[in-house]
Amino acid sequence: MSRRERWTERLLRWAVADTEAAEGLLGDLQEEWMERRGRAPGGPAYHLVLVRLALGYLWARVWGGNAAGTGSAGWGRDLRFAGRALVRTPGYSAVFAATLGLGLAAALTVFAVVDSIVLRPLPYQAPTELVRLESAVPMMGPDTRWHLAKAQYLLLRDELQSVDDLGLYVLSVSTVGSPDRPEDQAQRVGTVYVDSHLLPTLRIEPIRGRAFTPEETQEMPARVVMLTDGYWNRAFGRDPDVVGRTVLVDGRPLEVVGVLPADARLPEEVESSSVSTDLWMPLYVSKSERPVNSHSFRGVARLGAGADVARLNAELDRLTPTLPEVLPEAYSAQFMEEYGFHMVATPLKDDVVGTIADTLWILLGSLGLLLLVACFNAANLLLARTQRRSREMAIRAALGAGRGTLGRQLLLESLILSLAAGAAALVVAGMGVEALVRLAPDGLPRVHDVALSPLSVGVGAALSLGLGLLFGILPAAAGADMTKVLGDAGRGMTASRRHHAARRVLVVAQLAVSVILLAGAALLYQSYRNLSSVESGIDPENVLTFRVILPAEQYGDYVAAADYYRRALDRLEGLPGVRSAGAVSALPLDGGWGCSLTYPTDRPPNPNDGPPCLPVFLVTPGYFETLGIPIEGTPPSWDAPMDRRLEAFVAQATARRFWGDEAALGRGVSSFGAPAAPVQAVVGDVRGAGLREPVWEATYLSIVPPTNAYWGVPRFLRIAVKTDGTEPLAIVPAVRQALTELDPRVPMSDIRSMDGVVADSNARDSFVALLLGLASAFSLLLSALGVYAVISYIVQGRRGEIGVRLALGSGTGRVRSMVVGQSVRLGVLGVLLGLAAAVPVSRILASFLYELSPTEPVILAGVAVVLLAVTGLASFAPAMRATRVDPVEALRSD
Amino acid sequence: MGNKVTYLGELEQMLLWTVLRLRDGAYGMAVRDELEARSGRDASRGSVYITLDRLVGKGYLATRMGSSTPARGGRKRRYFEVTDEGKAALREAREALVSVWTGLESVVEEA
Repeated sequence: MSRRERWTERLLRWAVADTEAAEGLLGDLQEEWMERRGRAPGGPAYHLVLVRLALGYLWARVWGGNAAGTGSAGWGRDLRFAGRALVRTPGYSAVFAATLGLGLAAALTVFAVVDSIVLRPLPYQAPTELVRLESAVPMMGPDTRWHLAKAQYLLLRDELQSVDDLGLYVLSVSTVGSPDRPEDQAQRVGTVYVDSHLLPTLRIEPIRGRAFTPEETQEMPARVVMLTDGYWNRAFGRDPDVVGRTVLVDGRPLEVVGVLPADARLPEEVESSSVSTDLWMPLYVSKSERPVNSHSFRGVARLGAGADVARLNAELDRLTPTLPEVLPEAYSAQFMEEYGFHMVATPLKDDVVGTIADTLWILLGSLGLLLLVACFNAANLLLARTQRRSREMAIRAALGAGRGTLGRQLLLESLILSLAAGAAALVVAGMGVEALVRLAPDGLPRVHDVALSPLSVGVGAALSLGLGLLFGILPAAAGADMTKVLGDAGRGMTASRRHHAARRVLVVAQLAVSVILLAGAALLYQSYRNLSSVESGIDPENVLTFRVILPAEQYGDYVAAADYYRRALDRLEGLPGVRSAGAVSALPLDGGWGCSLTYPTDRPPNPNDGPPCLPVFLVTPGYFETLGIPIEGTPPSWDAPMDRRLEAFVAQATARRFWGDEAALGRGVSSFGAPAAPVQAVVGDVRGAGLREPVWEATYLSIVPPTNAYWGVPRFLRIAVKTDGTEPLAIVPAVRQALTELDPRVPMSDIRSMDGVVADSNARDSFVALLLGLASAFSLLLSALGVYAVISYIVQGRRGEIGVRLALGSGTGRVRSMVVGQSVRLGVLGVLLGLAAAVPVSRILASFLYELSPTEPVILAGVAVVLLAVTGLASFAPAMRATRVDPVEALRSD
Repeated sequence: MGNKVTYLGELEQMLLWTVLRLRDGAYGMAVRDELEARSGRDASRGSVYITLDRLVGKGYLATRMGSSTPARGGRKRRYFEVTDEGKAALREAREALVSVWTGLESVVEEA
């Protein structure tokens, strides 16, 4: 018997729930098959019979057919009745379902994001065994991490006991072309150099050909390449015989030895869709290489059986002090001490997800609060409806409907609405997730994997079912015995006081939660404004930026590369609408910059405090002008003779650090062991590391006198182009054409406006502020509706009293202020409770706030005023209605 | 449920009669075959088995397990037997029907 039939038989046994009954039934089926069809049961027909029987049994069990005399007819009738009751009051049904549905949709949307980014395991086999290996340098900054050096990696390979395997890789970019058609425009591809252990560590197997052998990682330069599934598809149309063919990478022919499976991704590719590799090449790792203190290689390890991250870290801590003995060329004792250098392992998932997890949990918490407000609102509506129906219920009870029947009907009504709301919420959340992904900041990890996951669908279904049950039982719990209401209703009294009190409590709770949400949103918004008004030190307006990649083959030489930039910038400045152009090794606010040991040559580094590691950039003439960075002194120029010494341009902050108030011009700086470079000019400070961060203590070296001895060939500069007011992205075609004319083998990529670069740098803050703002606006709206409903109801109940007051000469103004006052009293109570809760809750936000206290009194006071104004406004319409009460009419109807 | 006899549905009555008629041979498949043969209607497996189990739950039917046979894949037959409560319920149902019928035979026949 196939596995599927065993599975359906198990389903049937479970549905029947009685072993003997199931045995008899399955035996009968077997007998029937043998007798009538002459063979043992099996096939789709049998499968279908089993499933139908199982569903029949389940249906009978759920709808109570089995033991009780009522049978399923009772439930069916109640279901029809409930449906009819809801259709009779379409307004109530729609508002109830919409309130709950929107609350659920908002919460589910963010839950789906949290699930996809934070909860879902990484797409590797046994992903929790994977750890990131890094070097920590606490003296550079508490959370500063460097990657690994090759020598360090080789040492770890030899020594680590608690890992099964570890691999090393480094991301890069290359240009590929076809050897036969050099006139084709070069294509930029993402590449990664991997050692022979990375694939086994990640447990990735090639689908064609083979992985790299250890010998292939000992050859320099590499002769072989592996293709990713995407590149195999794009460049070779999934040719099954691709192994053995040749790809021209950076002008060198490499032999294809294997193809990676479609789901093979580096952790960086899992994290961000902006990282994408096409070609994997062997990383040269050899014990014969001289150990160098250069930590740019990414390490990942797989924990061995029974090991955990804590044990691995303990092992790394034991190994760290041995570095100066084992690798004296790379790690001096002084270096270790100055930097607090040590090695750390982090679970790979924490490394990929990063700090965004905190942000997402806060968002989820906020939208959970919004759902709570929506639930309070729905409960309020439900109580109002129950009160209105007390007469109907009492009459039905008098006609013989039992408490059970009435209760069941209320439960069914509530379940129908909640499940409808849940279904609608799932649809809306599906769209919400898409919208959120589009709005999300660039840096959001795994954002391309975000989707409404099965888990979020399950949570949505469970929530709507749970709320349906809760709201179905609530009226019975709050409204005492419905069959006894008839006496009250007959005397024309407003129904139970408990209902009344319950509704006031709900409104106050709604207001209090809204205060929390509104305070959070206001704080984040103000913080975002503070951040946006920070002086970045550059003028990003009308600036286009992009990256060029010079192929190593043609531009292996420093002078050739520098000459390319000179001619490219010259052509760009000649384009209509362009004011200036320049290039730099890393743009402000865009990451991707490092630091070097830099010190003033007239003041040799003090061995006790050690030379500071400061950001150093390579710039071309025109760069400072293009980004609007003020310059005092001689700007970089192409006219400088190529045989001159280095030229340095230091930021004001750097000058202050090195020379205090003394003049910086003419002094010398040295970086990365390069000879002293005289300071040609002092330039304006730039907040390049982020608007929240201190300004860069930057040193800029001009590209013009060759700096290649220390900086290598500048093959990947960022070019910036300032227009005379023309929309920067509009000149892209002209720029592309000019560069293609110059050299078609140089591709341009990462095309963005500098405004966009700045906006992206605080995208996370604006994103969180926006979402919280939407949540609090919606919460405020729901609270206003709640206040409106309750006050309207109170006014309705006090019509008689109001009529008497008006008849006795009380002015309409007094009646109006009485009603509004009642509403504002609820508001004051809600605001006080809300503020009491908001103060501790908003402390959670402290780490997100920029130059703002989480208990900023102005903001909390503003929130209180807004809330009170809203409650006052919400009661305005009922107050107006109260003044129009006709005393005679009101007293007569009593 | 208690000692009070509740009304029997039509299928419930027919199944009780059928089980009575089959005497010692009343197991699920036989009951269904007999019911279909006697009533001339199709009876779905689900309704027959679930209603039989419901009658067991109400105490109108008792069950016993027979011996296993190779034709049943080694599974035993489950035989049904009408209990005294079942018989009482059938009597009551018939009496109710008869009292409703009384005096109307001619009317129905004319129509």
